[in-house]
Amino acid sequence: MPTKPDETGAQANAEDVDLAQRCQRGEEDAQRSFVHRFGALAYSVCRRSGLGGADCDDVSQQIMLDAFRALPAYRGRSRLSTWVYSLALRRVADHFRAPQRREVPLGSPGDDSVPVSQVRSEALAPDEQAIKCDEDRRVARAVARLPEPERGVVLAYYLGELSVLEIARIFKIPEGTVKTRLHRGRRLLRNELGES
Amino acid sequence: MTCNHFLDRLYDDPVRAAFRGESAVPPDMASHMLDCRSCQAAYHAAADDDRLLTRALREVPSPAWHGAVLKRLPLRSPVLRRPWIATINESLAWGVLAIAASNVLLNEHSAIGYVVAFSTGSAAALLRPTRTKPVLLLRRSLRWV
Repeated sequence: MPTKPDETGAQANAEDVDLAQRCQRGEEDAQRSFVHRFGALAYSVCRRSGLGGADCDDVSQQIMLDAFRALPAYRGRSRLSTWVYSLALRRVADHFRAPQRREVPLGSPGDDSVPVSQVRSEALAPDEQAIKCDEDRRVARAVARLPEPERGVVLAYYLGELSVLEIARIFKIPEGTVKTRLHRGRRLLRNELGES
Repeated sequence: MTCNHFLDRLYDDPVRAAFRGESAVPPDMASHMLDCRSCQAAYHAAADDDRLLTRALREVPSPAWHGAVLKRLPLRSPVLRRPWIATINESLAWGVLAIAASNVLLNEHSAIGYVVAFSTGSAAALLRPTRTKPVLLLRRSLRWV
């Protein structure tokens, strides 16, 4: 029998609370696991928000440090990934709000100079890997061109892997609106990718 | 189930888990798909998008990035200050425990003996350097006393 979603969520949260507590106790394995599990999320949020190069490295590393320092405040009310994602959104917004950094940083996601995912499935042949990389780059560019209400929701759902309810809470919109924006965002992406 | 209801549920967690092969398609949706070609197509399109978008949007930082973060992490997260009421509860509990121990082990029944035992227990609770596992276990069990 499949597990009920709320049971799965509660179980995931219990595991997250355990990880947070082990990190706080200074267990090296837990800290490594924390950085490994959520580092890519923090880094990807920065990249998809238009940060490139050293800025992306700095802000994403700072997000991880802030998240680690804030772990004692984590109570397991949401998944740790949701928690890190929300924190990452706030830190990226702070970064762009800072007066000396109002300009759009070099290396937008649509740039060919910006490398996409650096780690790929090792089982793929080099030519298949190249095709996948190209496809991923096209998709990332298309997402970067989505209009804002849809873009934020699409990123939160597919990159942050947040649930509709979690997105609704973060963006303070009804769940129905989240679904409408997801649906519209997907349609726009399909149109864009179909045309190119 | 109507087609609108079906399309509305495409973004729910159990359906996302089904896209990824982590669970079965919810039975009512599976039976609807058998009768409705367009919803079947919508399901497969959503599953394709889930696969493509989660892969394309996620970037993995370099090992150097990981190394830099791990190097900058403090050894431990700062521990939140405990609420004062918890500290008082704990020292009271340890004091009472010390009185009981002095009663049983030393056969001490004088008022001065109680005061000394209580003070020693409370002081031990306040001054102990770290929270070790046995202490945590004892605290947990004391909660129910």
